[in-house]
Amino acid sequence: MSWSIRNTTLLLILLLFACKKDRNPTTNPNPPIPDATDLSDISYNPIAYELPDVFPLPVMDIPMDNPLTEAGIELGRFLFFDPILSGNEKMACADCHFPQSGFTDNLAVSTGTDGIAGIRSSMSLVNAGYFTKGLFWDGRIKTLEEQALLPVEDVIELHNDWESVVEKMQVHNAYPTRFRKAFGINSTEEITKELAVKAIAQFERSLLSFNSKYDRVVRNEAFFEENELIGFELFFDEPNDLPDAECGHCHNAPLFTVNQYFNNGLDSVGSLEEFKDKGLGAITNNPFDNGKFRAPSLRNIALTAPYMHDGRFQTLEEVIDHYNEGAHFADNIDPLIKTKGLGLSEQNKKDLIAFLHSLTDTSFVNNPAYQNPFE
Amino acid sequence: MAASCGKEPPPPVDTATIQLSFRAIYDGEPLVLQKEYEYQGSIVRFSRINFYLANLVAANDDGETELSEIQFIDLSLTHNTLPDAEKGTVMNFSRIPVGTYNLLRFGVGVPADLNKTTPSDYSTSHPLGIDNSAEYWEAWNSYIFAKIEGQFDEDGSGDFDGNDISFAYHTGTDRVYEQDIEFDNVLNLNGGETTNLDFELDIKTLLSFKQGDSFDLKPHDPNNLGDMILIMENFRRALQLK
Repeated sequence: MSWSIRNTTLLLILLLFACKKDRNPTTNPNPPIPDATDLSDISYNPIAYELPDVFPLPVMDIPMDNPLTEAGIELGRFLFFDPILSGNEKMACADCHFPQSGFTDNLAVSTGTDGIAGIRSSMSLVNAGYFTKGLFWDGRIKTLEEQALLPVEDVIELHNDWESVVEKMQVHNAYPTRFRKAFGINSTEEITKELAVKAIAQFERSLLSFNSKYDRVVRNEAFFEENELIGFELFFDEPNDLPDAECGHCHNAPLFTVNQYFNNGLDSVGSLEEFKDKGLGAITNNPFDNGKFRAPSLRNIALTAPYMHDGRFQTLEEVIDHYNEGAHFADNIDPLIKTKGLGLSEQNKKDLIAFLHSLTDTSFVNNPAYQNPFE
Repeated sequence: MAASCGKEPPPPVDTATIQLSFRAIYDGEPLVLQKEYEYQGSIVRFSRINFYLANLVAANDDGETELSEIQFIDLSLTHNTLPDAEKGTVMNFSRIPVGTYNLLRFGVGVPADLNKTTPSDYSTSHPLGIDNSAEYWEAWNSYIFAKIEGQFDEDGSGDFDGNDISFAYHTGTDRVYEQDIEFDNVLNLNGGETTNLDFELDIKTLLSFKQGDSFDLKPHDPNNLGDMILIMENFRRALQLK
């Protein structure tokens, strides 16, 4: 290869990369607008956002101080997908919560903006507005607003500080207007982290999955296949000759989580102090909470592998095998988790998995309103 | 103007507050979750105790005052330490007309009219809503009226392991709703004051036959109607107003 050809090739490669769509939309080439401080000339006509009233989802409790508006949700969507929140502007909330993965990242444990791995798996945000008994695997935070504050300043996650994020938003070419339209602020100085997390929480409350096959069956719009129906009966311990899979106790409909924390017998420990990750116990300091983690929603579970708080199981088959073969005893194991196994046959397991697939809602993961607005 | 400030106006002077406290006890002492107790010569410990209270009414010669249609009482949240167990679960019912009441009445469980509904029918934080979706059982088309969960050292080894019994008594369906449990103590409500009524729930009584013997604890069986009926009927004996 001649020198000129090599250089031409190099130039083409450079041009190719230069033309590649910038996945870092906050590296804004536009300078701050000169009179960005005063926003009062921008119209502020908030339109209330009505969550769909669709069975089987119940009425969501919305905080009085953060009502849903179209502009608030839209601002939240931009922030959710914007790497402006990370210290090196390489990572957004969405990098651990992809819509197509049921708002997880399909990794055993998530990796932050500096490439450092955390200790737990990314949690699904499906129907997150209903998660009222603590957020994160260990329940350490009560509200979506409080939750959204933490990853920004977590050194393993977005490794930034809110002061820096707020400064960037205040001089951004688009965010001041979006904050004005969402919250009616009059000046860029009124852009705060509190408003930013309110917007993110609004977006998260809009993430509703209610159109899986299961949902359509309970609305009498569809019918289960035979294996799905048997799986349903196993899941909910229907009174018949089938074994009880006991799933519904922790993953009850309609959310397929009961928003509670359990030791589901994953680890063999000699005492409650031996759990490597104490989960809820690290928050409550009650040793009987050690090794307890939030039961996640099983909606879209087929899309969210790997499974458990540490992603130890790669497939749904492995998950079911864990319960079927007998969980590890501990002093705080949930009494509905069987240490001697469930007695499911190979066919039972297949039927159960068929039912779990009926919880996949493609209209949810492909909903245009939930996708990256920068693409 | 007062209303525009967003604060609830003070209750009228001719109303009062009834405060109900519920404490679980075992062998006469406040029950602490995960503490070991004697049972049939071996040891038992409890990890979860909760139940629904329905149609709570105070009555006198003038009629009845409904305090609440439905309440979820989760003793699991208030019995993790002895000091907490001594306090129990406390609920306040305000704006009750002053006067003398000679009867307090409630049912344990979820009455049939409400038991036709599901958590999807309520807002998130309603006692029957999805904050308590663990208290609804799809296969029964019923709320779970009461739960008593724990471990029993079946082999008498003195400690717990995978060979012992993890029990989970869950009761439900219209058939086992325990209605009209009545307490006929006189209750005087004075304007602006709070009157406390302390209830104790004897867990050992709840797990016993009528003649007093404790029944054998068994692993979870959602179709064990006999034990369900027994436990629900036992609420009438096990609940005492102090």
